[in-house]
Amino acid sequence: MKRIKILWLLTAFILLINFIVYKTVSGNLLLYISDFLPALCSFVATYGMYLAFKGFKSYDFVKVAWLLLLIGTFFDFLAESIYGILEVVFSVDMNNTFPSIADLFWCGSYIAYFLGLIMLFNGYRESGFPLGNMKMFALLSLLFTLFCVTVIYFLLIPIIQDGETSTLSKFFYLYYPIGDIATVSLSAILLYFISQFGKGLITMPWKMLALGFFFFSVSDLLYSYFGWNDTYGSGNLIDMGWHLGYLLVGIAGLYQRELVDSVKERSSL
Amino acid sequence: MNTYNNLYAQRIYEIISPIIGELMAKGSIRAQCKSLGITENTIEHKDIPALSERLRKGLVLFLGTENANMVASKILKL
Repeated sequence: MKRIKILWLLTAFILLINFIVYKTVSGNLLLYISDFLPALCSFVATYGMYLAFKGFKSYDFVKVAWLLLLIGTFFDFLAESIYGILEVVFSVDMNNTFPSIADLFWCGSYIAYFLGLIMLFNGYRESGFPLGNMKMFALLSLLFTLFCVTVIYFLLIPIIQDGETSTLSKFFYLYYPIGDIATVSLSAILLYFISQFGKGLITMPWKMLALGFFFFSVSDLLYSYFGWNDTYGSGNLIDMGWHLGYLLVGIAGLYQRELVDSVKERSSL
Repeated sequence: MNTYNNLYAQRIYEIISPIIGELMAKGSIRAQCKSLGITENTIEHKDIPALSERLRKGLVLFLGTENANMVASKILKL
């Protein structure tokens, strides 16, 4: 539990520093920090996922699901690092370089996340635990439809209709919002499943995971919207959503490890 | 404090509720009993192996195979 407390404190500290720096610093220093923070936060997420993954002994479907989530965070870490190196070390204008090699890793991370979340979703469906009531699923479906309509209307249609963007760029511009919709939807369902368990340690990994992906995807969608309209630049507060998302995913990993370890200790008594 | 009149249901509840919470412990015992065609109040000793196996499958999702097996073996010993 000590590790989790430290990571919560680190999360608060990073977000505070993030806010202060983005509001007070400008120029190259802002560029360096805005490239360093995502790499740091995605590293923390990778570390948390690694601990969760190592907590499982046999290679059952749960371990594979957490392995996929680990691969997703590692790809994000690689993407964030490559992005920062290209911008800071090689002075590449990343606002006008799209797609870059970093995008390949970000795209890869979505596939890994999606597969990992699907495995957890299917695992729950077959677990015998209550699935919840139909009214809540109807409400979730309605929210999902509204969410999709908003993203399609404000983001996907303008991208598809744009005649000046290359097909390759269009593919990447469309890939992210669609990936976000898929990730957020699966996370919302997992969050609903786990909310039936009330409070307690068993609920924390999935709750933090779902919240992490939620913040991450909201920032991603806002970035896609502002990026498409050329109104995004280094030091935008949208970044805080990504940082918080990464850190919550890391915290989810630590909670999962804590859960496995605590049951092991209890069972050996 | 007793939650169930049935001794087996109570003991299973005592084993799994510290792990998955009181709410879900009740929900999953009810659901697994239903899938076996019994109720929480009619669990007999002969139902324990099937119940422990079904609960084990559910717990694997959160705890992994080893831990789920350990919990299931506690139930099996009832």
